[in-house]
Amino acid sequence: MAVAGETVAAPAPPRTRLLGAERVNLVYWALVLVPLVVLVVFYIYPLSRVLLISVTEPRLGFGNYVRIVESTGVRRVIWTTTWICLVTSTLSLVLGYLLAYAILHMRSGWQTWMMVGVLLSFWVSILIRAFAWITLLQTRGLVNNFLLDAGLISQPLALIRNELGVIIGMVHYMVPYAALPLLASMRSIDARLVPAARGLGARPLQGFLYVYLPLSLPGIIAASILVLIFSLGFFVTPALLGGGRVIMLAEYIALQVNETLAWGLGTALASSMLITVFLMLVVLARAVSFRRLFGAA
Amino acid sequence: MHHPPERPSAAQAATPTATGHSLSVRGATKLYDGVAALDNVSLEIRRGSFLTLLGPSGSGKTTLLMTIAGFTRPDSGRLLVDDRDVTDLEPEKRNFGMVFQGYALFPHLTVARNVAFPLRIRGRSRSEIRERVQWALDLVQLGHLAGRYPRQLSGGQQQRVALARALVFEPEVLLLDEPLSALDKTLRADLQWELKDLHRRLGMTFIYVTHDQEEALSMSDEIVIIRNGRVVQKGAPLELYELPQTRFVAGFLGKSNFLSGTVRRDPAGRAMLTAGSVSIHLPDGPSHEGDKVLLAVRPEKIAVAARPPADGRNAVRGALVDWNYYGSTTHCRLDTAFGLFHAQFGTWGSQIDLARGRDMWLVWPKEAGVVVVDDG
Repeated sequence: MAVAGETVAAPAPPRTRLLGAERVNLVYWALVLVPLVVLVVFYIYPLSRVLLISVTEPRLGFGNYVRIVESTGVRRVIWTTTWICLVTSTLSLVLGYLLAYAILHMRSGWQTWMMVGVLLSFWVSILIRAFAWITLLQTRGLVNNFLLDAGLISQPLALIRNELGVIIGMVHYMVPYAALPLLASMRSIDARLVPAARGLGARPLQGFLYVYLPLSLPGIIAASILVLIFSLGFFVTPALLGGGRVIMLAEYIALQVNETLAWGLGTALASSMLITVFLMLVVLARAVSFRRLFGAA
Repeated sequence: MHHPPERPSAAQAATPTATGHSLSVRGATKLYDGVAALDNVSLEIRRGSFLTLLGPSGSGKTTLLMTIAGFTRPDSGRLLVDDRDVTDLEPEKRNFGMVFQGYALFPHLTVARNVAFPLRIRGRSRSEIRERVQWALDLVQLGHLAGRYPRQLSGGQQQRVALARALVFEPEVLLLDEPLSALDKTLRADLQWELKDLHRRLGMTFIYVTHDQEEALSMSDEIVIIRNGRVVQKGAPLELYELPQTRFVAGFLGKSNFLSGTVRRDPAGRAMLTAGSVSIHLPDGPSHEGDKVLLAVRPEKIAVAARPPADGRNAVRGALVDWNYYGSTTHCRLDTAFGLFHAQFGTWGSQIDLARGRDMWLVWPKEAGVVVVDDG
């Protein structure tokens, strides 16, 4: 299969001769050094400590990692986390796709308002949202009361303190994160292509499946990465809406570090998660071009 | 579906593969916010003809094409293909080929897969698709680029892919929406020849939209001039150019000088157009003394001379304002009693001595003029 032509190297930035070579050098190093120091002090050093603790506490070696594989409790947490993240990502992606598609195909006046609606949700703290969902979904919450009063159910539904509650809360949080990359990707699709497909004999659904969907694939992949990685680290929502019954990885790590003081296991889990995410990105980068994915090419 | 035993092959590319269909638009009207984009348009398009919808931007020519294609639903009016009413059919059910402005190639598919698209949608067999795609790509001389992606092609090549894609499934009619407008002038001229040749070889009905009058004149069997959602005039290119009925057509299709005045008779009883002290002969035709008339005269039919003619041809005196040299032709502007006049003559062999401000004579035989309706 033929592949696009080579990416052309960016032209070299013009050198500023006016400042004198030495001054330019100084400025150059200052600009590089400041972020580098910040990065080392606040990210690389703590991170390497985490990695170090995971192989030194309580004793030197990979004992903590062996425990991750062997302990049924840890395995269950990993399984729960994976399951919830996959369901959340899938639902967020589907809803985000519909939302992005709807926004893009609205009249421009509505478009603005819908965008405001999406962006507004970023302003509401995750904690407040979790409490809001509790108010809505609890046994004597708005939803159950309404359904009971309407005579649709005779017993309150268990909408929180279970996986369902966690997924509802997480999906609600993640939909805008899925919608925005999708929106960016859909915007770049030539609006005449689906009509062109129809002019060539495709039914509307075929036009969508064979033309629109493949062209929005870069957005789907970008959104999936974002949503999946984000949801792996969810802490507040599962803690509140899971009611202690649905333990996800982030909460479990916090538990190890804060309660049982098993720093070794906690950091080993954190490191594993980091490596997993990193590996996911590596595998994905082999499959698709990141530069194209995020609109660079 | 029953297939004939022999499939068309690349070697048969020169033989017509689709018979033409006739098309009939009856009273199509489309309003946008109360403004008529199409105002009771009726058209008969003969089978196998190359018909061009020509008009300025916003005239409704694209709305008409989109109505024919099925993307725009008319508020009233019918569309018939060979007496079959297709007004209520969705675009994908009409089996028309369409070349969009900007081509609308699918960027995620190779040239071959772009061309194969209409066949895949129709569920044709793999071997048939391969043969038809080969045929269509050979037709536009792009067989060697089948594996490329659209973005790797030049504008002219993309245009040909769009053409191949629109023809590969043997549509009943081919619709083309300003297919050459994005190309540079030389390439456009080349593709005009090719399109015309393709039309002749395929024998299909082509409906072509353009705002480029030269394109319309050079390729069409019939031109329909559209303005404000209405058909202003239609006819063969020669007929439209030589005998425009209105001021708009005379000025839009080619250039014209306009002279307005009143009909008078000279002592010999011939009809004259008179404005102030100037009188010129009108072409033969019915005219009533005292009527207001508008005469259109093409710049290339006017000769520029240093002296008034002795043979009784029409002559108007004017001062040379300016001229442009275009190589093969030279265009002059002269200030006359009728306002600014344009004249155009072949540069080669011309003996005229041009100098700004010089008084000259614009000379034309009376048959060169056309009386037109003044539609503003």
